[in-house]
Amino acid sequence: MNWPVIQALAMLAPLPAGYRYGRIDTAHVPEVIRSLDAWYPEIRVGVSSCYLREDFYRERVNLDGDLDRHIYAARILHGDEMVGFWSFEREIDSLAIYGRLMIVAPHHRGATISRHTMAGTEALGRAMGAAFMYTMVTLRDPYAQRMLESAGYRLLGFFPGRDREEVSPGVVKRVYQGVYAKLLVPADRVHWPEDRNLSPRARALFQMMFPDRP
Amino acid sequence: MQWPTVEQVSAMATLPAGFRFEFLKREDVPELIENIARWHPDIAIGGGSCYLREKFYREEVQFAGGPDRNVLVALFRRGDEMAGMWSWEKELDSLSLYARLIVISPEYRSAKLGTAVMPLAELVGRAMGAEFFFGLATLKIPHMQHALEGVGWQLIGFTSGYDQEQVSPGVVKRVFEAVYCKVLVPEEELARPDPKNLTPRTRALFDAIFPPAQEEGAA
Repeated sequence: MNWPVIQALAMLAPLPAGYRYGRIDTAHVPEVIRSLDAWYPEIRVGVSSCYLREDFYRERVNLDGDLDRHIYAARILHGDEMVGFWSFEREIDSLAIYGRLMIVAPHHRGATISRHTMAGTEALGRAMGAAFMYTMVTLRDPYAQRMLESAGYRLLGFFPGRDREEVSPGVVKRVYQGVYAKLLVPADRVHWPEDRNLSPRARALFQMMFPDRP
Repeated sequence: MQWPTVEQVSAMATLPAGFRFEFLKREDVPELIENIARWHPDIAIGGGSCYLREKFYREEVQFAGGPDRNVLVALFRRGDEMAGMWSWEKELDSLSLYARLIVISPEYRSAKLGTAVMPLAELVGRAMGAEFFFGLATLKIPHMQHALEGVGWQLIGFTSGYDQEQVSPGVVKRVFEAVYCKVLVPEEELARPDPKNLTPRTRALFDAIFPPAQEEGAA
């Protein structure tokens, strides 16, 4: 599962007119951190707070054109101005890609950047040889849920409290997140569980969530 | 979130007679890899296959006296013999613990080691300051689902093909697993989403998994 170079990313997940992807180099990291903190301060206290720390980029993110690490990130530019950020993680043993973070500057939120990138995730995953793509979204607003549903992602459940957010000034709580995924393999490469191997509780939920099982 | 010492864990655990806990030492790694491959050969393909690679232990697993790392591996021993292993990962930014893998030697599966240590996870997690646990349970057999439900873990969904497994000799397919969790913070510290912020599809599943509390006097 090899990461695309930035030019290939633009082909796989085209952006709206006027926008383009930009590679992240070591020199960009301070600006990336300042921008994310200004655009979405809620991430300061949770899982994604690592994106506000320089050591995280230095140790785990592909920088300066290197594509050997498991976490990939790209800037989204309008002219020369950074107006968005997109990051994934690859899980090679399970052939999965985890959509970690997508943030758009408030003054560009009407430009359908997220919708364009989401529509391109499947092409990106297939080009990399991934079999499964997933992401977790906030339930503070319905936009990401709608966008994922319209891009063909399936809701697989919720994490009740894995992440934390500043829900109002100075008040940090654990929050629920929706988990969405898209399977990129043909139906005959999926092994469905047998009812007799599910606990009664698991069987009831499974039947509700997967009425389309063969 | 510092991992506890083996003494602290042993003091909290009641293992079946004759068994004891140990944390993995560097010199145990080759034998553990051999044992996992023999005890649970299906793991050779998929997310758990990292436990069959020395590099994984060298780079990511905590060893006594070594630097603090996010993955812990504990061994169950009976005398000098390895009888099983149990592995956790800590996620510092979310104060979470992920139950990554538990494998017991077929010879000792009737000793119910897995069931015996299940309540221990909560004790250790609380002692470390964790606020959330989660783990995946296979749907190939129901035992782990029953064990997790028995200690109060909540079923929160399924992975529809996240991992791959050899489902029969030479046949690799994407498999489903059940996702279970336990929240360790009081309910008032968990912000329930406003229903108006959920799409109809999200709301239907959310209410099925987390039914709203019935108001007093409601039928």
